[in-house]
Amino acid sequence: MGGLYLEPDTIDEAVALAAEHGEDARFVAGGTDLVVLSRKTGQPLPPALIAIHRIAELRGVDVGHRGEARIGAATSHAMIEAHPAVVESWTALADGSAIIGSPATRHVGTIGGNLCNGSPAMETGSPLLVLGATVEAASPSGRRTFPVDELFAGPGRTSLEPGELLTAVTVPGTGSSTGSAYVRLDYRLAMEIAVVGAAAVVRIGAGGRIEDARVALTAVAPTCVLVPGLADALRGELPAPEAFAEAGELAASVAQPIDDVRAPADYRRAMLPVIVGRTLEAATRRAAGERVAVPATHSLSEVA
Amino acid sequence: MTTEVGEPRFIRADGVQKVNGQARYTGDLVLPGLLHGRFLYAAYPHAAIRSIDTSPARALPGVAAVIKQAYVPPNRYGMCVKDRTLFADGLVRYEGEVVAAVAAATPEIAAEACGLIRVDYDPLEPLVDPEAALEAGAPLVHEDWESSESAYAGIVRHRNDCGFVNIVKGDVEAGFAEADEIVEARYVADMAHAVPIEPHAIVADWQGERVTVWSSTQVPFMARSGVAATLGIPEGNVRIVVPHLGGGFGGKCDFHFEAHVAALARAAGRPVRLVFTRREEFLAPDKIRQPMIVDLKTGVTRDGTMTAQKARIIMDTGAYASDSPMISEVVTMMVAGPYTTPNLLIEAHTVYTNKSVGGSVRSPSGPEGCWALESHLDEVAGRIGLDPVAFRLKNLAGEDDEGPTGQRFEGIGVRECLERAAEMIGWSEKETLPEGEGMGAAVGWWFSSPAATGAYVKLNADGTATVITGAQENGSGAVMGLALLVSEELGIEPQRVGFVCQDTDAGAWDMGSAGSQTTFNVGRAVLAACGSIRERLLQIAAEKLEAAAEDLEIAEGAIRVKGAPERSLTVAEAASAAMDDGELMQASSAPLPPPMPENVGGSACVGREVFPAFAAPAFFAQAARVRLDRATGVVRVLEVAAAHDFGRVLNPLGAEGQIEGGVAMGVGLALCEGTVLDEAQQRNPDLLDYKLLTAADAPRVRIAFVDAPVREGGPHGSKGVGEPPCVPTPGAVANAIAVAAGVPIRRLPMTPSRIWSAMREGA
Repeated sequence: MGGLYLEPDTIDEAVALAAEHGEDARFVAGGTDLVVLSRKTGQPLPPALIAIHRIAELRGVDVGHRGEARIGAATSHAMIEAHPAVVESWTALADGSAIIGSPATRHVGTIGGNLCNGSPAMETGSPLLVLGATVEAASPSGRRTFPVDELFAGPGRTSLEPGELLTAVTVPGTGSSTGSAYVRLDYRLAMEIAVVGAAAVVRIGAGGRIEDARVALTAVAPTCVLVPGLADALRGELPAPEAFAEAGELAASVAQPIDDVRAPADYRRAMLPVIVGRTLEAATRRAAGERVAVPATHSLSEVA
Repeated sequence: MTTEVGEPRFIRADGVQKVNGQARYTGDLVLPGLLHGRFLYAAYPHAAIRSIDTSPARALPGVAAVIKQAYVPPNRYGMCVKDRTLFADGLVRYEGEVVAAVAAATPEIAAEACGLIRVDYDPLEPLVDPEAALEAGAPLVHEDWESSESAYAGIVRHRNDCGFVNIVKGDVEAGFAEADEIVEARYVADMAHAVPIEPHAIVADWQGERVTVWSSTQVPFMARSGVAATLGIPEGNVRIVVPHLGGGFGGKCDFHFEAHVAALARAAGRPVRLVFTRREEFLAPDKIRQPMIVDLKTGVTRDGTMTAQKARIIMDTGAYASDSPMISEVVTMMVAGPYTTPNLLIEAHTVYTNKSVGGSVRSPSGPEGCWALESHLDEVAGRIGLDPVAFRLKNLAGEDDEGPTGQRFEGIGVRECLERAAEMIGWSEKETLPEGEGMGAAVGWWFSSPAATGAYVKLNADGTATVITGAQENGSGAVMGLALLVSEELGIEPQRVGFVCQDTDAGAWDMGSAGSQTTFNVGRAVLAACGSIRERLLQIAAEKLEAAAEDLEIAEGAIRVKGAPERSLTVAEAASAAMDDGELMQASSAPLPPPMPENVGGSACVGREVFPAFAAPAFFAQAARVRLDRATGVVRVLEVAAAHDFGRVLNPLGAEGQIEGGVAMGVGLALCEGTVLDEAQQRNPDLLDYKLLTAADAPRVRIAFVDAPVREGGPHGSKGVGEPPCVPTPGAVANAIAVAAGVPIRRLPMTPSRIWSAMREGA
C-alpha cells in the first residue's frame, strides 16, 4: 500500500532515485523474479520500485570494432537468443537465453535481471563465465567495470553495492575455430530450470587438437562457477570422449551439489560429467563449423 | 434417429469466448460493496490450538470481519465420514487446515490482517508413515474416530484406518499352490494434484436469509447441501451458481469452501470474494491423489494362466477421510483388473496421517492402481517368458465372464481394445526399435455412474431449443455436447440448442461434473424429454400433412413424409403452429438410473458400499512408445495408441478430446507429476517444481473406438468417457520404460533420477 513506482529515463536519474530512496528501493526490469516471488510468498513488493524499461541505453546488443558485444542490462532474453551476432559468436549465451522459463518469461525477462537475481541455477551465468564477460555497474559516484565472476557472491547475492545498477554486459570477441555451448539437463521440453547445467567454449588448433577450453557449471555450487585448470588439462588433447570424460572428472571436483526438491545430490553429481561432456561436444562441433541449432539442450538431447 | 449416432463432429459454442477473454469466471465477478476474503492456514501440520486472538486483525482499518470456528455452528461434515469442521476446532491436523478467515476492503489488507491473528499453538509430532499409522499402538489422528458419523453404514473403520475394503474370490492360497511361479513386488505412488488452470474461487452474497454463492465447483448441488448442513440453514435458502469453470479434474468436487465464504459474507454484512493462489490450490483442497503403496503377489502357471492374486493397498488419505473410503473400493477393482484370475484377495486400507487430504481427482486411484497392476503383470509375463500382450489376452475377461466381485460382463470390448492398441503402436515390430526405445501396453477398466437426473427441454416457436438442466459444464463439453442428442431427436441443428445449467435454482438436481456421469445420466433425461416433444411434433405434422405419423421422419430441420420429402413442414412451423393453438412444446424427464449389475460383492466382500460392482464399465488399452536417454534417465513418450470401449461413442470429437487430454495427464503422472514431501509438508506446491507435462512434451496420440454398447447404460448403450483415458497411460509408459531401461521402475512418478537409480541398482 502506498508504494512508489518510478520510471526514470536515464541511468543517472535511476541511480539518483535509488540513492534517494535507499533501502526502500529496488530496480525492476521484467519483474519475472521480483514480482513473481512477491506474489508467491505474499511478501509485499519493496516500497519504491524503480522501473528501468524506459532507459534506452540499457537495451540492445552492439557489436564494437574490436569484435566485442555490449549487451544492455535490460535487453530481453528473447532479443538475445534471436540476435544473429550472438547466435554466431557467443552461441552459449544464445543457448542459455533460449531456455529460460517460457516464451512469455523470455520476452519480459532481461539478462541483467537474470544476473542480479543471483540464482545458482541462472541460465546466463555459466555462458558469460566461459565467454569471459565483464559487467558494468553505475552509481551516483560513477561507473565501474569488472569480471562477471566477481558479480556472483552466493545464492541470491551479488557484489553490487546498495543502489548500484547493473547497466551492461560485455563479451569479448571470439576468434576463429572457436565454438561455445550451454547444455542443461531438462526433464521436460519447456518451462524448465537447471538441475545441472554446463557451458563450454572450445578453440580447436592445429591437428584438430584442443587449443583452449573453458567450462562453467550451473546449479551444482552456491554460484555458477568456472572449472579451474580445465584449459591446462585439455590443451593438446583431441576433442573426443576421453578428453570430455577428463573434463567431467575435473568438474565433479568443483561441484558441491545439494539434495533438493528438483534432484538428489548423488544424481546431480552423476549427471555433471554427462552434461559437461555434451556441452563440450556441442562447442567442439560448433568450433569445427558444424551447425548445432540453438538451444543446444534440445538439439543435442538424445530424447528431444 | 435422424442422424447416425457418432457421425457429427460438433464444436461447442463456448470456445470463442474462452479464447478471446469474454468468458466470465468466478474470480471475475464484482458486486457492489465487494470485500476480499482470505484464509489463515495452520502454521504446523499437527498442533493443538491453545488460543486464537483475532482482535489485532479486527482493529486493522479496512477489515470487515474475522471469523473462526466459534462463529459457525459446530456441524461436522465429510463425504464418507463426518470427521471435520469448517475451521480448526482446537486442533490442526494438516498444513492446509483453515484456522480463521478475514474479509477486508482489499486483498492486501486481508493478507495483512491474517498476519495479525495470534494463534497460540502446542506443536505435536505429525503422523507421517501410513504403515506405522496402521500399527496397534500408533497415535490417533482422530481421537474420537469411533463417534464420528459415517455416511455409509457399511464403511469398516478401525482407529487410523477410516475405510477397510476387500475383494474376496475363491481361495487365494489354493490358487498359489497351483502356480508354477509366484511373483511379488511393491509399487509406490506419490501424492499428485488436479491442478486446474482456474484456482478455486467463490463469491457469496446474502439477501435476507438467502445466500447466493458463485463458486468454481464441479458439483453445485453437493455444494448447496454442504453450505446448508454446515451453516444450519435450509437448502432452499442456498443458491449455487457456477459461471464458466476453468477445469476441475476432480479437484473441485465435493463441498468445501463455499460455506467459509458464505459465513464471512454474513459476518461482514457485505458480499465477499475469495480467489485461491496457486499455492493454496495445492495445499488446501481435500481432493488430491493419495500417496499409495501397493504390495502385489501373483501366481501363474507356465502356460501363462494366472491362478491367484493377492494385494494389499495402503491409501494415505491424510488428515481427513473425504471420499477416500469409496476410492479404496475403486482401487481394489483397479488392482484386480478386468481379468479372469479365479482366486483373489485384494485388500485396501484408507489411512489417516497428518498429510494433505486425499480425495477424488480424475479417475481417482485409477492411474496409480492400474500402473501398479499392469507394471506387475509385465514382470509376471517376463518371469514365464511370455509376450506381455499375449499374456494379457490369455487372462482378460470376455463376454459373460465373471468380474472380480461376481458381475457378469456384457458388452466387454477389452480384448479388442488391446489388439487395436497393439496394432496401432506397431507391436509386432517392437524387437526392431532403435536403441533406447521401448514399447509397453496396459489395459484397464472404469465404471459409469448411474445417478438421479432430470432435464427440461423447451422447443421454441422459431425452431430453436433450450435445455434446462442442473448439470455442470466443467470444460469437457459434456453439457454442450448434449445438443447432439437434442439435434438427433428434434431434427434441429445442434447450434440451435441453448443451455441453462449449473444453477441450483434453475435445473433439476444433478450429481455434477463427477464420475464421468453427465452424458451418461443427463443424456438419458434429455433423450426422454425430447422424445415426448418429438411425438407431439409428429402428431402435429401428421395432421397438417395429412399423413400417418408413422410415415413421417424428422431430418434437416423438417418433418417430412418418408419417400416424399416435398410433403414437409419445418420444425419451426410445427412449433409455431402449436403455440398458435395455445400449446407449448416442452417436456421434462427424470428417468431412473440403470441398476447396478447383479454381483456377489455385497456378500463375499467387506466395505463395498458404493461399488459392489462396476456399472456399465468402460474398457480400454493403451500402448506407448518411449525413448530413454540412458545416461540421464530422461524419458520422452513419443507415441501413445489408445483404444477405448465407451459402449457407443455419441460425440467423437468430444471423446477424442477427452482421450488426448487424458493421455497427456497420464503421461504427466507417469513421468513428472508428484509432490515431494518434507515429513508431512509439501515442498513443491507451485508450478515451477510441481511439473505438469507441457504441450511440447505431449506425445502423438492415435485413437480407436471399440463399439460395444451395453443394455443397461447411458444413451444408446454408451458408457462414461471423461475419466477412463488417463487410467492406463502410466502403466503403458512404465512397461515401455522397463523395456528401454532393462529394469522395472516401481515408483510413480518415474522421474529421471528414479529411473537412473533403478538402472544403476539393477532389477
